[in-house]
Amino acid sequence: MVTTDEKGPLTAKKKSVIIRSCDGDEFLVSESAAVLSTSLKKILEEKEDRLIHLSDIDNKTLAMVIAYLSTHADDGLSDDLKRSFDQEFVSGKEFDVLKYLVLATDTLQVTCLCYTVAKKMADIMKNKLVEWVRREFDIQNDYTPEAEAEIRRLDAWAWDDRQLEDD
Amino acid sequence: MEKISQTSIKRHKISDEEQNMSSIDRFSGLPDGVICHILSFLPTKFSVATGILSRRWRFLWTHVPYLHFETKDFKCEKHHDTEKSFSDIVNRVMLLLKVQIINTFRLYCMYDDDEFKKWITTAESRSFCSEYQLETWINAAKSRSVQNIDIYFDCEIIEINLSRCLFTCKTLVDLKLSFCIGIPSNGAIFLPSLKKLHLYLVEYKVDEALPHLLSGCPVLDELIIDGIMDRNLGCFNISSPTIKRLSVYFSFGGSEFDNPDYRVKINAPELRYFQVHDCSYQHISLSPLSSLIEADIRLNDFEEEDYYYTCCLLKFLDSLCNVKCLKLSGVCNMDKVDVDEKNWMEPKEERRACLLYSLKTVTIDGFGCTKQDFNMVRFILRNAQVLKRMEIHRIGVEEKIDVVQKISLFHRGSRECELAFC
Repeated sequence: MVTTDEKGPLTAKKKSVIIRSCDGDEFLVSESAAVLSTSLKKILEEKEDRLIHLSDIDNKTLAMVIAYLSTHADDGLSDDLKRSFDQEFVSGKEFDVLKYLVLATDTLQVTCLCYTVAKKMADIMKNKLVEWVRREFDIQNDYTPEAEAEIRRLDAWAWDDRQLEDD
Repeated sequence: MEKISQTSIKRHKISDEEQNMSSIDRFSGLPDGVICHILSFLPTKFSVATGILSRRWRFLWTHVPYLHFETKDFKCEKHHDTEKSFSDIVNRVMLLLKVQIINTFRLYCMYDDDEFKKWITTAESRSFCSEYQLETWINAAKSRSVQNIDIYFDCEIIEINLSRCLFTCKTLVDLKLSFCIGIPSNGAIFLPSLKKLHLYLVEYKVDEALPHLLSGCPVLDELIIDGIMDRNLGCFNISSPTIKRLSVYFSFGGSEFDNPDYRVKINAPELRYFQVHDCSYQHISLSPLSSLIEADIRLNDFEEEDYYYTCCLLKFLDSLCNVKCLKLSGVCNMDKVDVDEKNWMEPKEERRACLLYSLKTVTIDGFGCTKQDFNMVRFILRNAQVLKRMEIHRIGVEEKIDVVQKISLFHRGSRECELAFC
């Protein structure tokens, strides 16, 4: 890594990037952290611009993603520490917070965090009732009662007392 | 200034129709691809069940490239209710699937309660899964460039041979087989992309099966052999010119084989990491492992004569000539207090393992406080020339102070060496 950095065109000295959230907050991030996001990396490769505006990511979510990126860009931390950071990172977070996180990490292409968050969401969704999932995902049931009954009859095997059962 | 937004780089649009439909949900910002990503962590049964949520979700699951079927998710009562068998369901899912590439195909056939076991042994469960079905599914997965296959057959109840077509899957990267039978000992094996092979309590039937399988894996990187089902093998030959990580666990403390003269031969010149648990030194022989960096060894309880034991152990340690990080655990049976019978015998000068000139860290897990243990620690500390750290774990609470005092006084061949008692 060190040799690549020394030879690389971008990192003659330690550079920083400013990232602005959709609600206008600005975050100063080291370039080594920013490039862990594939999307940000592409932008930085194409443009010399040091200010990146993310029109769809709010400041709360962005702050979390940046905390993640900075931790993972820290060469002083062991892989074990980073792994436990990842687990801590998602534990105890509201489903709603995770939704915005998974969206942001998908947009920014932070593969690792996107994986961790998606997995956590799946863990939470397990054994939840249909109505719970509809509520948390803000899904409006647009089936007619007949259509819903038909699906239940066809794929009856998919429902039992443990998964996605109705109230 | 560069703007980046979810709409500009949304990568997972499935169809315009579904896109319009999604405007109903506030979560329309969440692309279908992300939903499928979340669903990929759940059993296929669950993702199919999400079809009930709304019209947008009806067939969203058909875009999930992960298939995960577990028989325990399909309870027997349900079969009677719906007249759909497990294989009907797998067939339906695989026919409806829209993805071009299947990332993972996972099939777990197991029972988790006696009622299910009883049911599965009856005639009517025939349609549950057959060799014919399995062959169809594996071929279907193959035609969609499957990368990971994970098959678990509880062979106590299901005697199904693995399909040969599995062993000529060009796209397969990761293969895990648990409790399976039917590893071919002849015929074509061609797994040109396979990087990781995990064999958990697989039945090999003949000595040639494993070497034959490995011969068809030209880029294999990691091999895990976690127990074997056979007891009649004479020679268990693990040979691969490419593997870098190897873990071998013999689950019954070295008594797997009926044949008392069985051999375990390991020939893996590129190995970097080697873990072996519960194998007897007198039965294992290693070709030189000159690339090896890290080894994790769990000794067996020896019943052999001390001298023979020491010879085998030294021969074994000699093979690990360049190891820098060594973990030894279960050095001796902790329950035994009969210390005089099983002494660590120091090797003569000329037989001193060359390992000791490269070793940097040693971890000893399960220090039994026997004379043998002390002698071994004394030997390593005195002779390991470049040792940086020795960790000793799980010392009995009562003995700890005594052990620390005693070992701290041992002469150290390496000045830099530090000791840690955990």
